[in-house]
Amino acid sequence: MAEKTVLGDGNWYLPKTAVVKKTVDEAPGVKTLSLAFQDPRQQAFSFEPGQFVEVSVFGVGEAAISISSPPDQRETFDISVKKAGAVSKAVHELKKGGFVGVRGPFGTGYPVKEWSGKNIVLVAGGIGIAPMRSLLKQLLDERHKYGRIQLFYGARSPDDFVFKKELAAWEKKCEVLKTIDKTCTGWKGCVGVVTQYIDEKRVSAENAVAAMCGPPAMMHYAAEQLEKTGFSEGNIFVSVERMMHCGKGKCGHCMVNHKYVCRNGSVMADFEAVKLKD
Amino acid sequence: MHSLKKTRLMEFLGTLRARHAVAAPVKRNGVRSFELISDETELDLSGLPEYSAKKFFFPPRELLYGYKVTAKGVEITPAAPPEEELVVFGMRPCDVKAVEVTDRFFLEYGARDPYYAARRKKITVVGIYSAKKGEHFYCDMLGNTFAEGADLILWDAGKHFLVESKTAKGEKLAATARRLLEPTKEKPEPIDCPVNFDRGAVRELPEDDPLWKELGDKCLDCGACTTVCPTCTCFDIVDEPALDGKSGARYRVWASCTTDDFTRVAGGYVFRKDEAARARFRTLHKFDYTTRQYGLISCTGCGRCSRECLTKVAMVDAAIRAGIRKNNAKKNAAGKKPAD
Ligand code: SF4
Ligand code: SF4
Ligand code: FES
Repeated sequence: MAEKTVLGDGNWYLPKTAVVKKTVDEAPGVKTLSLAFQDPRQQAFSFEPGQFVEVSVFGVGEAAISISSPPDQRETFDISVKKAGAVSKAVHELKKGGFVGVRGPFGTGYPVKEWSGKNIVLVAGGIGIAPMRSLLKQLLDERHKYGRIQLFYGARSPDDFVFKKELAAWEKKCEVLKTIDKTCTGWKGCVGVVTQYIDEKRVSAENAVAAMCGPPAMMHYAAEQLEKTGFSEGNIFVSVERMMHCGKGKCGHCMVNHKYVCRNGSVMADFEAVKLKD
Repeated sequence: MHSLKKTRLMEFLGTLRARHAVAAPVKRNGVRSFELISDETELDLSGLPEYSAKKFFFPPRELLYGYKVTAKGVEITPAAPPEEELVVFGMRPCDVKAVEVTDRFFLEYGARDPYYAARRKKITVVGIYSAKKGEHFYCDMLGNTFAEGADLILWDAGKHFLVESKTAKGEKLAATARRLLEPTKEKPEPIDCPVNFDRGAVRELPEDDPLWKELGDKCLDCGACTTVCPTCTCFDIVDEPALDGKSGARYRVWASCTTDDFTRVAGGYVFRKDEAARARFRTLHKFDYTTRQYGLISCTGCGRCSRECLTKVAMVDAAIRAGIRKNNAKKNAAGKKPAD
């Protein structure tokens, strides 16, 4: 084999060009971008809900971002990005027709295939709704396969809910509990941290699995609450956030104990993710 | 096995240098390190070099690819793989052990790293061992016996070296200096370096053990320890844009787990917030995590991290002490057991 191929083909550090096909303003500081690979040969791109890609804005850097569209959405895939670091800010500046680099998909997804016939509890906080959208849309596309589906979704204020239009559609097909941090005029939903609503009255661990994504503190308490209602290790799946550079277990930034979140996660079984101490 | 007269070592090195680039321990400005040499007499085997040969396997700043954003898309030009063969000469057992660790990590455990692989393919490792005790730090305690990683070994046998080829690469290299080598039936004394402390003991220390705080309180977050460590491999990926704003290059540069930036995510949250947690992470990474990941302790015992540390944060020492304590406790317990 020619030497050149070592650093060319099969080199997973190299991003592929993707074109921004559409942008949607979702909430203050949150945008969804629909992307398509420029080279049609990469259209076979397949992934599972919960997996992430490394998105490059050249000159600024790369960031790990969850895919927010379901796997069965063809031609384009979505990322939903909250303005936080330099890369996400640069992503927000992109217009239709702009270019980004994409590597991946990386990590593990939610093991949806094993969930037929089960009741499903989803917990999302803030921008943690992004991978949940990928997951929920896939579940709802095959709604008949599953039992009860519940989404617990917390945001700072009504305005901060991402995917507002879609939420209305989801509410018709599954149970959605929305909660905001502090009450405000016109709000009829729940108030307070999302985890307080995960209790025996509302959820049952019977034949159920739970999936969640949100800030570390939320996940910690959500896992605790779920345990109280009878969920246990192995049926809680957590999408873990960590600093990531390489995406494939080499740069070391995402290590938690002896695991790499980018490789052994980012979807991990409960106890590992929330409780693995490093 | 061959023998090489010590008086002909320079000639041997010269022969290697005639065909390959050679990196070897030299002393420059009072500091010993592995450098490319153009003069054999610069060789300094007086002790373990303060700086290891890591940079030849995994450069501090390595080009991944260049990029150029045009109206049509983004052109990516991957870094050219190294073309020249390189001999890294004079690596002691602990540094060879480090090569075994980084090989295992970059080439076998999980994804293969294409950049490390391309570089490594061109490198031939020549180990050297002298039983004379010098500044060996902890490395006598960590079982560094040239198990893997070296292609050719020079065993100090008094007036001569015994030259042992361990791999086809080593064989080939020795062949280039055949005229200086004589076949021999003599065998080198095996390295006597058993691991006689409980390597996992440090893992059992609770998270709030005062040891971690003690180490953390002293740490300045400077990253010197991870820089000099021959098995620390963490890195950042960074962009260097050109002035035109459209093109540039992406590099990987060494990073240090002892800084709070290391786990800071966009938005500001830091996962390993205090120095104690980071000192614990680095220690356990060496003595516990990698044994679980790929079966090797990733501390070679070279002692560089403790020596280079301004405030003498002795993480490795702590792990070894914990291990010795546990072994002793076990022995005592066994000794006290009443005979039945
Ligand atoms: S342990 Fe020492 S060398 Fe390492 S970061 Fe802390 S102060 Fe620096
Ligand atoms: S941790 Fe310290 S003693 Fe161990 S290999 Fe690294 S620098 Fe050497
Ligand atoms: S992101 Fe580099 S090791 Fe996980």
